Amino acid sequence: MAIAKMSRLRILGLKSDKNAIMNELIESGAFEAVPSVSGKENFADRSHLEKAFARQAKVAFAIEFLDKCADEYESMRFAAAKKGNAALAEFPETEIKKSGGRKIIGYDDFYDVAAKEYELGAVCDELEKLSFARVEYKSAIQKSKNKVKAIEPYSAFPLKFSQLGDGESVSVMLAFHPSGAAVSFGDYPAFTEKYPCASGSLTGVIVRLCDKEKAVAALSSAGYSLCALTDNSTAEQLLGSYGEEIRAAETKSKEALLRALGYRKYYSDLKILYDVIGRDIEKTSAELEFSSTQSTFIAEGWVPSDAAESVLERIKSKTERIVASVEKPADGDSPPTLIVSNKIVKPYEDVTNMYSVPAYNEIDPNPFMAVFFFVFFGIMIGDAGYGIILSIVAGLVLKFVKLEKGTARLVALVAMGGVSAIIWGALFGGLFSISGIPHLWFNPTEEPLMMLGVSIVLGVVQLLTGYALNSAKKFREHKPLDAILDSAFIFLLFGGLACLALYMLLNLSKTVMTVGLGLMIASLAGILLTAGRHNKGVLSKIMGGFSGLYGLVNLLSDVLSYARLFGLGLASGAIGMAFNTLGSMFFSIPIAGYAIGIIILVPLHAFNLGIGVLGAYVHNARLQFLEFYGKFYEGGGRPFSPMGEKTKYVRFS
Amino acid sequence: MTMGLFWALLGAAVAVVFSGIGSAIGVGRAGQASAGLLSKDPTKFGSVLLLQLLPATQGLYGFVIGFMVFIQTGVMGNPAPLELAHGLSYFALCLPIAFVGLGSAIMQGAVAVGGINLVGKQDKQMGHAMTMAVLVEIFAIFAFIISFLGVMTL
Repeated sequence: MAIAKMSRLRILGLKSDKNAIMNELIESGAFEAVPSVSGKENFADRSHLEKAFARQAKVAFAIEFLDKCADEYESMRFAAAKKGNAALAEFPETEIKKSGGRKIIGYDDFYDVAAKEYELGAVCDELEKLSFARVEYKSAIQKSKNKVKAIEPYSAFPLKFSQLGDGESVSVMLAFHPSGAAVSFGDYPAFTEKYPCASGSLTGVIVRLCDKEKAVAALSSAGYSLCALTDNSTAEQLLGSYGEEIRAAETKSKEALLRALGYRKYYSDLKILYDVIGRDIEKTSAELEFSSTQSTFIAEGWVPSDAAESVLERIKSKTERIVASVEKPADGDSPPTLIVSNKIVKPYEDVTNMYSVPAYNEIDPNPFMAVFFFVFFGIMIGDAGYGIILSIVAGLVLKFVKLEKGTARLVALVAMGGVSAIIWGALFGGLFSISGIPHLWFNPTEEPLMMLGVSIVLGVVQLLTGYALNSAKKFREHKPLDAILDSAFIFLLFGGLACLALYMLLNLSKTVMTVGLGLMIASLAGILLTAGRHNKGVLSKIMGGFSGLYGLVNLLSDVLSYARLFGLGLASGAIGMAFNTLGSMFFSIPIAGYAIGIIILVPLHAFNLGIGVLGAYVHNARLQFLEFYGKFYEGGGRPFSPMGEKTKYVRFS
Repeated sequence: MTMGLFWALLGAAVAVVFSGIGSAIGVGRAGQASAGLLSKDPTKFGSVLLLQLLPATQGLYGFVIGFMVFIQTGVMGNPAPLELAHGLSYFALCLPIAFVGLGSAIMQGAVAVGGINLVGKQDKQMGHAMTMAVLVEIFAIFAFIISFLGVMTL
């Protein structure tokens, strides 16, 4: 329930032990490397690192190519099935569906794959070749298709193209026009013949050589283009041979696809290999930052102070030849933040981290925030029925579905929110917005002002907690004066307001009101006198006082902001009520009435629940970020990320 | 049917129409931006959907107010005759959520579009994008509260 203390761990070891030491550090999952203090220009050999990057890129390419091939095969199969052709075979593979999240494996599997890197490298090479081959086939197909397109208009021309051109006394031309305009030759003999053509009109023209120029001019002015082909074969022959080429290339391409898919049995190994190399890269780049001599090196990094002993023991079980030191962070260091929470608070960490990671020296805000988040979530949903659904569904998902850690935490958050909604639903008498359910406290739709009051009071409690935490923070920073003055008057102010409210609501004696007014006046005077204390000069001190008073306007808007608890809670209840009215209209239909009504009600309520959860989550987060954290929280920390944690496809059991 | 009832129902219509138009515009624009982002990075669907949905609530608030007017005037059962002044009051009370809902939803949609672009470039900014968009909503909530309290107590 706090931010873990970090220690700076330095290990001096022999280079011959480097691999063993680094592996232990990574597997401990509690070591974040930092560059050595020496800060000298680093001339270490980077070639290993660069090679590792190249190896990883190759594996990434292979994985992507296999994915692409699988997609293509799937769509081919789909198309074949649609046409009613003989269905293509099912996949010859192991793991086709993209499973959600990283695969969980043990270290044994990990090292098995690492040992197989040579074999897998050959697979990658082969896949790369296949990929290039397929690109070539594709471009060959495209080229042939372009040629076919060029010849297609002439497909009905029965002669060889080489027979076109000039003879001894006449010229034979073939002209094409996309829509078939009329040509008017002049007063010279011209013999024309039309050929059938699907895409326009095709005309053969024979004129005397001496009239050729005029005829060409007449044809081009009418928009005809002359055929420039000179192949020694007819259009039909050409089309046939190109078609043959296309078919051959397509068959080869498909063969290559099938061969590539044959390598899918290595798919999951390749994914593991990607992370094996990734770890190598992480290790190598960390090592490059360590200072070293001819035969020794110093590994340096942050470890949680509690784990320092066990990390050292792990290493010592492999080699005794090390010198280690564990130090507290010095001034000016910026250790990473590792938050240690119990299981209940853990899911709420993500909400804080979405805003900003706590700074290392800060009070861990999560336990406080978690309480308010829990309470507010329930009040904004405010329905026991929805709460039961949320907590049961989310609980079942948590129990039976394997989720990535982050997703699991979000689901846990919703499950707890469901519990909170059950509690508030019981207090408010909310059960699927059905009217007339007995309530333990009051019904918000009937007493909306009471609901508004509850929201505001809850808000004030959270704001005051924020101010109290601010004081605690100032005490930790050894600024007791600020700790008291910044918060005390706010407490006085709200104390006075509370007295006034009690006086008005419960008809207490006049002394309560007097005390309340006194407290308020004292607090306003106090703020006026002290808010400008950090300013220099009398005038600016006075101005500071007034701006402190003006700051209370912000406080007012903070308080009003909690009206959203009221608004969202009522809205989701009222929408539910509206839906119920709609659904119950069908209940009067005999026999099938209830069935129809319920069929209509279920999706409507599901929609309302969805919108309600979304609203409860985002508005809740906003209240925490702006109203609560605005009072004391700094953030800007850096999360602790131990080596070996950043994997793409696998994580360790 | 009295003139009073007519004005009350006109109020309900106005509340639903304007806040609904606002939400439709807001969610629509955010949806376009989402689709653009998803064409580059389909894995962000979850966070983008969250941002796209934010401007939807104003329409719901308007719907609730319209519905509350229905219930209060008893139009769904057998409506009691309503005085003109009474009906006009209903109409007046529907105006806050109608117009604030309209403006707030459109502007929230605009902020959501910005947020979606932001998330497209920087994954980690989801929390900030969401907070910025939610800031716009408080005004619609205030308007909703006023309309709601008014309609319920009238």
